Parts: sequence; structure tokens; C-alpha cells
Amino acid sequence: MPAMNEMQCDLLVIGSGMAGMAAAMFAGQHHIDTVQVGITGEINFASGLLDVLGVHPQDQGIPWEDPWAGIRQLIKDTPDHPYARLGVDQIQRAMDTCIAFLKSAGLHYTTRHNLNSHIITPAGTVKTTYAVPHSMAAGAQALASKTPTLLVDFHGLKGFSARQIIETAGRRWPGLKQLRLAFPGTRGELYTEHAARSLDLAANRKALADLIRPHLVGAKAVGLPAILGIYRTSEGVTDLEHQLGVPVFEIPTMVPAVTGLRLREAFEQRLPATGIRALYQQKVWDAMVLPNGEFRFSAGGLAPETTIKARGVILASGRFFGKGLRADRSRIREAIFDLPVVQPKKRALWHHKDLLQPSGHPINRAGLETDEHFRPVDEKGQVIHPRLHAVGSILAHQDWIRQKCGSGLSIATAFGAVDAYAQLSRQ
Amino acid sequence: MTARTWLYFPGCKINTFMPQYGLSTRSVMTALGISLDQTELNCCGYPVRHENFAAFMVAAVRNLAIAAARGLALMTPCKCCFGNLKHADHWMHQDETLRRQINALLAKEGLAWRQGIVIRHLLSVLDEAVGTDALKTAVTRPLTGLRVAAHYGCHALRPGNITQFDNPLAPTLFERMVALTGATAVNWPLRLECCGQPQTGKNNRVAMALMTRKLDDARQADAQIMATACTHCQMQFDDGQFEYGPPTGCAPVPAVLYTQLLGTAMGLPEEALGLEKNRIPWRF
Amino acid sequence: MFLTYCVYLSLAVCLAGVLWRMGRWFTLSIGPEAPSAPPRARIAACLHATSSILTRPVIAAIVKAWVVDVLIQRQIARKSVVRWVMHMTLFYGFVSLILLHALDDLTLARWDPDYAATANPYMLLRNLMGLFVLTGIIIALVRRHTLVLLKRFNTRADKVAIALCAAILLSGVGLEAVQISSAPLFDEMVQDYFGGDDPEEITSLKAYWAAYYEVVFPQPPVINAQSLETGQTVHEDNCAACHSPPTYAIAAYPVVKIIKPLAPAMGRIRLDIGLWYIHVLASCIALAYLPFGKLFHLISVPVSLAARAVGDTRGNAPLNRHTRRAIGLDACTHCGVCALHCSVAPLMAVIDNPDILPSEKIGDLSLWYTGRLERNRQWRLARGGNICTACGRCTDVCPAGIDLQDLWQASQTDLIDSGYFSPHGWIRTNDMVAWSKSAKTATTAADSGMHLVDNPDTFWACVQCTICTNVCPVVATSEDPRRDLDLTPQQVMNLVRLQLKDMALGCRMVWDCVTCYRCQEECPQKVPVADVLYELRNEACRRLHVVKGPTSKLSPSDLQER
Repeated sequence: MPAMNEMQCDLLVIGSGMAGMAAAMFAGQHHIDTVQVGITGEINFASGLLDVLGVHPQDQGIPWEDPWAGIRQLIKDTPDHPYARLGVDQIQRAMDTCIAFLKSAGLHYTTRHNLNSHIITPAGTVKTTYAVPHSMAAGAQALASKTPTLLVDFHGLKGFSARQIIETAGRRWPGLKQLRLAFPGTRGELYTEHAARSLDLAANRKALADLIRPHLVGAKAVGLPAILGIYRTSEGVTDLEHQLGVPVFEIPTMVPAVTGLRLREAFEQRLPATGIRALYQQKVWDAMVLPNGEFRFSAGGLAPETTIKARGVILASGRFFGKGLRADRSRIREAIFDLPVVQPKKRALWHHKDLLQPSGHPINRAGLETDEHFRPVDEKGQVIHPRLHAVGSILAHQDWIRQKCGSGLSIATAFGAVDAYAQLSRQ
Repeated sequence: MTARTWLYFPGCKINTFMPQYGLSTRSVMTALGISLDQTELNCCGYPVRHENFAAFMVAAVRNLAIAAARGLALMTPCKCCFGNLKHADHWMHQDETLRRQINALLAKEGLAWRQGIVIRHLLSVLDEAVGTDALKTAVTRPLTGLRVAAHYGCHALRPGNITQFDNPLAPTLFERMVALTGATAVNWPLRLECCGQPQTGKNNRVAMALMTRKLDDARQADAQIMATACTHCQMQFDDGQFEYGPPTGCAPVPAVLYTQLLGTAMGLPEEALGLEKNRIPWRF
Repeated sequence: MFLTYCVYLSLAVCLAGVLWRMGRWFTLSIGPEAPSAPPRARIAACLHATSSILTRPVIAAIVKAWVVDVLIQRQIARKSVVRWVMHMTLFYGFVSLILLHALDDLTLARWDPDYAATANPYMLLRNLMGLFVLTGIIIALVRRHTLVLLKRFNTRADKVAIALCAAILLSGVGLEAVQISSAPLFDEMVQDYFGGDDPEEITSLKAYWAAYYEVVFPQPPVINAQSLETGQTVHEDNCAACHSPPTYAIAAYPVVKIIKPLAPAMGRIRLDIGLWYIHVLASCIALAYLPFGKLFHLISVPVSLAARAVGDTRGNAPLNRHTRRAIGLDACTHCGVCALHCSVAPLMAVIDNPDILPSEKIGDLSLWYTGRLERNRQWRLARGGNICTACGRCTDVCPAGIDLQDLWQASQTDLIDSGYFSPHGWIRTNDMVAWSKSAKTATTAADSGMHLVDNPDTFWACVQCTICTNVCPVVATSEDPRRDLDLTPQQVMNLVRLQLKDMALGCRMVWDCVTCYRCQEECPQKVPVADVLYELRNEACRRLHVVKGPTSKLSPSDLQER
């Protein structure tokens, strides 16, 4: 193989999903010399909504209007949940910092004075979330005040039907009307990214507005699938509102969605500018701890290309889809360091018999056990390495999908771990 | 890689279709103290790669073997040549059987591929071998006020793990290079997208749609010109716009080769940059 | 008498052939411009252009081209000194031999009242020119049989040309050698030119000529100091004015030394007369053959170089472009320089198609345009032409000044018009389903070398998430992807992982790919989407070759009709 490139850094962030991106961002703000390695595909599957906590206890499906109150209750009920290592103040600070960062990257989020917001989903159900993209804010408003709204969908756009939304949400939100359009310039199947790129151009927005305008009659708002541009979304929404004379909002679409893409682009474009040395589209091939306690990794795309020496590590490699965890016939393993994974005793206990069991399956809560600084520990509670931290969905004792706390978990644990790393380093 | 002498790989198209790129590259490089070895090389294999992988490999790797035999690093101004040479080099590393077969064919000419042959695109050579400081010094007539849309060119950028040109998702090299000329690199969403050239002459609908889309985007970002650093991309934007014309009510966006931009900023004479050969004229 | 008839006959054949050959310049239609113009219009256009050139400064460029590229052969010298030596020795050797030897009655004999072919400097010069030609022939043979590329493609025309040159030269040298040693010829000369009839003087002259002029007598004369002395006097009185010593026949003299033991026998059968016939007949054949083989380049190359000096074909009037291209076909000497500099020549190591090389392609084009190319080689010609990358190096190096670059473009258009599409073009002649049916009948064992398509590991991680489709700029340009592309990238991946690659081979998505690699870069599961599409195109091309390949007897429409 060709000669390996060499890199040296203080901190290596492994992973480029929500948690890895957040960790790199916080590390940048701490002025830590950071390298980030990861394949960024997974963040494409982000909805773009930033949840903190939606449901607790999950088996009863109780939604929380005030997520912070919910978190306090959650910490009380499940003291081993990762949130319990942080406390509400830290989580709030983490969220505020992250939202401010995204704003600086041109991606605006709206929160409702520390309360959860509710928005309509493409299935017509109501989704509880904490911060909504600016382009969806008018939708939360319209839902709350039952504004008579025209919902637009498009021929060929799969998984998004205005009629289906009205069918499900109509009773709760009576003033809904539907309109199906052919997206300007297309006839067949429509893909969200293509539509969004097309609506980044003013001429195409005008064509769309011209198609919608005759159908407004009486509607006080217009809801569209989340395809209003990738890079110029705010500009696009304002432009459409100006042309139609009513508030315009986006409704999330099926993943992979442009809402995830916008998040990805914001991080990818902005993080390198803050000094993060990013090796995107590469993965860690092997890892070892040197006698002096530092780490040595090899990273690369199709084969190891770069040797990275790092003092410390933040492991944000995700669960099974992100390939941070791997399951074989008998057990679940952590993919890079083979760290101990808290998991059910045997495979038969991984799942409930009932697939849709509201409390989730035991395997969903498998993951890494950590100390209060998010450092993985072994069965005896001993820290495995003083400068190895783990964040995000790889952590045990959480079920982010059912608890509706994915973004919050990622952002807050990254915040906590980077903070801890910085503090421990100072000592 | 900071060599002062490079094996110059112009690729097939420059001679016939884009002589101004060869001319301006040689002028700029000479002025910057880089010497170019002009041994006769063959096709990079890109066109035949659609049809016959093995033929592509032989053609591409033969060039690499010549570079190895001459003990020089290889520099090409064409991003398609660059990407394809990198692909070939990658497969030679990757596949032992292939390596043996190709080397056996090359051995008939006394050539052999080996590891560690350096392949760089012109922009990287400017960045690494010439360096920012030398470029800053060389720029005597900065293109102040010129708004430039830097068009990256797919084959250099992706797949990033093979081409190793820049961060494939958030590259900065071209914008940095444009900034060095004193011009302003605009931020435009489609900067990393395809110019459409690979389908020109095959499916012109696709080729023209891709080109038009990019030009619209550059116009919306208030770019005055499009900068390219690839023979094929330049052919697409210069010849394509010349032959098909801009959409009604729009002015064309002149496409200018990066070497022409840099040369202009360095105060080189117009004839040394072949500016008069651009079909959509641009002068600063 | 017989030989005189032969000379006139061959001259007549030559002139008729040249006219016929030049007539073709105005009848062949090559390229897309105004194809049905009658020859009269073509000739008129050509004359018009020629007459307008004569009054313009460009005439100087033409003269310069003739001096530089015909007389000095600078273009050849730049590329290969050996080849330059070959060409110069052959050209100047033959030209001088024709002017000063074959036509000596019209030239030297008129200029020099004392001219005799066997006297110096003429004998020495003729032999020197003979050696020149011999050198040229030897270099030509060695080149044709050592250079890897050339040795593969020696055509009959090349061999005939070299063989004719060799026959004329060797018979000439042999003739001179036999004549030198011939006793019967000596006797004839004595009879015709010797003034006296003193037998002793004749004997002395014989002794002198046997000793110094290499004549071999059936009964060797007595050679002693006295006979030689007498012989010398007789010789100087009667022979010396027309005969220089044979050592000056520097080409024939070594041959004389070799054949000396056989000379009496040769004299007996009058081999000198036989060789004379051979020499003259070979020359006649060469003259008559001139318009029909590569020797025609003596005429066509200067014309081609003159056209080149005026400018590129694209700058000519449309009608004249056809003419120019037809001249170009005739001007090729199959010298092979273009092949040595061809940018895609190394592909020959893998693709067994001589028509990749410009030197072979132009020959086959010549056959094709004159309706003489076998059907199964037409497809090969089109495929070879496809591979050209238009680098223009062949045009730059062509010593005959043929605008090859233009010829390739024009002929490619003609080939496509005749149904010989590129693979991209072929795919558009049919729909995906029909393709998948014919593709099944043409499976091949080989694969591309990337080994992605048939390897389940390539796709195991694919979750059909549609990101590849979402980022694909080609899908984005389509109003209706199903109509324009048949399938989207993610659907192609799905077909292939279900082992249904036959279905995917003719899918337009595969062929409309711009290879921007966004799909591959962005795939969260790292499926090499773009490389898989590359491999599918490779596979489709290979199957196309199975049914369309050089050995196939199928017509171009066969695949469409299946």
C-alpha cells in the first residue's frame, strides 16, 4: 500500500451523525485541536427536527408539553438514562449552543419558549418536538390555531399525500384543503432533493407559486412537503409567502429527506471553517492504545490511508445502522474497541414476542455503560481509558426512537463529554 | 508534493479542442518556476472505460509506468484525466491479479507500474508545489471586484477516497485558488455538480439540462464568470454556451480556465494565455 | 521491340490509372456535407478553389510545403532519422536512376556528347544511387519486421511495393554484374566497336580485360607482361573512352566477385539478356502498377501537402471537403508514423481491433468508401473509429499532410448514418426489455475485472434508501424518470442484486450516467453505485461484441430485429 499520511491531534471524534457533528462542534468551541472521521450518509436520515424529549414513560406514551419537566421526571424514574448524567441546565445549554451554531450556518430553528412544539407529519399524525426548522414554524402555528390551510402535494412524490394527512388530521384540524400538482417541469416520479434544488432557483419558485395561487381561495396558510430549497430555504419560504400572500410552511417528508440534507450541509460546510479537520467519507479501520496512553488509529475510505495519533477520543459511531454496534449470532459487540456492551444475557431475550410492544425491546436499550464523564466502563464500573468518551445513540439505557429524544441525546451527551474532556485535560 | 519538475499530462483533448489550456498552463507554470517534462504519453483511458475496463487500465497505467520510469510526479490540468489515472492507480493497488496482468502487458515495452507514483491535478500542484506565498507574490494585477463561480469538476472530487483531491463534500481548494487571484469566489449551491459534458454527443438533452442548471445557479449567485480547471468542463461551458446560446433574456456566463485567470492576475500577456481562443470572450 | 511495346503499354496503363484514380477524388462522397453533388460540380469547385489560390500569397506556403515536406522531408526527419534516411535514399535514388539511367537518352546523352553509361562519373553515380536505393529497401524491410506495431500490419500493398523496388534494383545490379563478366558481350563489343582485326591485339585486349575488367573468358587468355602492355594500348585506343574500370561499379563489382566462378555458364545461357528483360519488365510493371498501389503517393502526397498548406479541411468549401478527404485516402502510404504516435494505440494490447490504429483505419476506410470492405469488417471499422479520442497527433505527424482528424470525424458520421452506432447509440435503438432478451442470448464468461456486479458483497448493505436516486443529477434533469431513464439508480442496484443484470444492461439510466460519482460518494452504505454502472456498460459492450464482433457474419440490423 502507498505510504500512510500522518495526523496528530488532541481529540479524535469518531462518527459524523448528529452526535459526532455536535461533538466536533463543541470541541471547536473549546478550541480543542480536533480531527473528525466518519461517513456522513447517516445524517441524511435525520428528520431535521430537534427532539429533546417527547414521550415518557414510553410504555404509556405520555407526551410532554414541557420537555424539561419531562426530563426531570425521566431522570427520577430511570437514573441510568444518559440524561441523568447531565441535568436539565446542561441539556438546555447544549441545545441553545447547537441551535445558535446552526443559525450561524444559515439554518434557522424556532423553539416555543422552552416548550415542545407540535407539527403535522406526512401520516397526518401530530409529532411532538422541541426545535423546528424555521421553514416549519408556521405549520406549528397553523396547527395550534387550526388555521384554514391548503395542503399541497405532488404527482410522483412518494410517501406524501395531502389527502392522507387530511384523512387522519381532519377532525383535529378542520379547515384543511388539499391540492395535488404536477411539480413544475416534471411528470413522473419526483425526488425530494431534485425538487429542493430546483426550488433554490427563483424562477422555479415563481412557477410553483403561479400554480398554487388560483387554489388559495380562503386558505390562510399553505403547507408543502419539505422541498423548499436546500441552501436558500429561508429565502425561498419568504419569497413564496410574498408571492402567495399567506404564511407558507413545510411538512416533513419520508427519509432520506432534504431536511436531513440541510443539517448535513450545515455541519459539513461550517465545521471545517471552525478549525475541525474533517475526514468525511472515511472510517476508522483499526485502533490501538500506545504504551504512553495515547491512541493510534488508521483511517481511510476503501483502505487505511491515514495514521492518526490522538490524546483522546469521542466515540460517536452510532448503533447498528451507523455500524457502531455489531450483532453476531450470540452477542452484540462494539465495533472499534470491542468495549463491553450492556445487553440481554442471550439472543432469545433481545426482543419481545410482540413486535410493536410500546415499551420497546431490550436490545433497544443495549449499549455502552459510562461514568458521569461519559467514559465507558467495564462490568466492575472501572473506566476503560481515562480519555475515551462515548456519546449519542451508542449509549445504553435509552430508547431514543420511542422516547423521541434522539437529537437531544446526541447533542447533550456530546456537550457533556466534550466539556468533561476539556475539564479533565485541564486538571 | 513539492517537486519543481513534473511530467506534464495534457490529455487528448487539449491539442485539438482546447489549445489555450495547454498554452496557459505552460505559460503560468514557467512563470512560477515549475518545469514541465513533455514526454509523449497516451490516452488516460477515460473514454474507453465505459466499454472495456481492462483496456482502460492498460492505457492509464502505461502513463503511470512512464512516470515511474522517468522518476517524475505526474501533473495533469484535466480533471477527467486526473480522476481516471487515480482510479487506475487505485485498482492496481487493490487487485493483485489485475496488477500482474497489466504489468505483464507493459513489460513487453520494458515498463512497469509500481507503488508510490504521484498523480496530481494542476490546482493541487499550484497549492502544494508552488504554494500560497509564491502565488501571492506572483499576482501583480489582482482581479479585484471580479465575482467568480468556481466549478469543481466531478472526476477530481469524487469518489474522494480514490481521488484524494480535497474534502469531497466540502472542498475549499478551488475557492482558495480563486481568492489568490484577487477575485471573489461566490458561494453557489451547485458548485459541486456535473457540467453535463460526459453526455454531450450521447444524450444532449441531459448534457444541456445539467449545463443550463449550473449556469442559472451561477447567475443567481451574481457570478460574472465561471472558472474551470478541466478541459472537458471548459469545453462544455465555452463551446456549449456558444453553440446553444444562453436562455432568452440572459447573457452568457463566460467560462474562463483557471490558468487564464491566474495568468491575467500575474500580468502575463494575453497571447500567452490564449484568451482570444475562448469562444465566449472575457477580458479583465 | 517487345520491350518497347511493353514500355509504351505500361506508360499508357499508368496514365489511364492515374486519371481513374484522380477521377475518384471527385466521385467519392465522404462526410455529411452536400452528399449528392455530381462530379462535375465537384471538379468545378476544386478548380475554382485552386485558381483562387494561385493568385494569393498562400501559393508561397504551398511551394514551401513542397520544398520542406517533399524535397527535404522535414516532417519525417523530426520523427525518425532512420525513416528519413530510408525515404530519402529510396526517393532520390530512384528519381536519379529514372532520370539519369532509365531516361539517359533524353537527359545525359543530350547534355554530354561524350556520355557513356559505362564511363565515370556516370557508372559510379549510377552504382551509388543503386546503393542508396538498396539501403532504403533494407531499412524498409528491417523496420517492417522489427517495429512491433508495423510488423503486425504489413499489408499486401506494402509487400508489393517493396518487392517491385527490390526486383528492379536487384535485377539492375545483377545485370550490370553479369554484363561485366560476360565474354559473349565482350565479343559483341569488339565486333561493334573495335576498329582493327589483328587477332593478337584482340588476344591482348582479352588478357587486359580479363586482368583488369573482370571479364571471364571460356578459354582464359595468356596473361603476361607483354600481352598486358599491348592490351593496354589497344584498350586505351578503343575502349577507355567509354569504359571505366569495373571497381567503380561499386554496387555491381562485389557481385561480380561472387558470381565469377559461374560466369562462363552465365555467358553461355546469355543471362545478361535474361536479366535485361527482367529489369525492364519489372520497371514496366512498376510503372503500370504505380496508380494502383501505394506508389501512387508520388502523385497524391504532393497534392495533399499543398491542400494542407492552405489550411484545415473545415476551412474548405463543403464540396471540396469531400474531394480533400478522397485525396487524403489516396495519399496514405501506410508508413505507420501515425500509429506510432496514436494516443489509443496501447489499447491494442487488450482490444484486438487493428482499426484502432489510424494507419489501418484509413486503409479500411478507403476500402469501405470504394465498396470493397467485407461486411464483417465494417463493424470492426466502426468500433475502431469509436475508440479514437481525437487527440490530433496523427494529423500532426502525418508526413503526407492528410487531415486525418477531419477524416475521422467525417467518416464517423458516415458510419453512423449507415447504422454503425457507438455502443451509446446502439442502446438507444431499442428498449430495455428487448435488450434484455437479446442480451441473454449473448452471455460471455469473462467479466470486466472490477468484479462488482456478480459479487453479492457489493450489495449486501444496500437498504434501498433512494439516496443514490435523490442525488443523481441525471434523474433530476428528467421530467419523467421512468419515461426517460427506464429505472433510477437505486432500482438498477436492486435489479443487479437480485441477479437480474440482463434486465439492467439496456436500461437508459445505465447509459445516461454522467459518472459524477455523487451516488457512490453519498451512499450511506458505501455501495459503489457508479462503478457498478460502469461495469454494466462494460458487460453490455462485451455482449454487443459477441454478436457484432470482427468474426461475426451478422448484419448491423440483426440485433435490432431480435
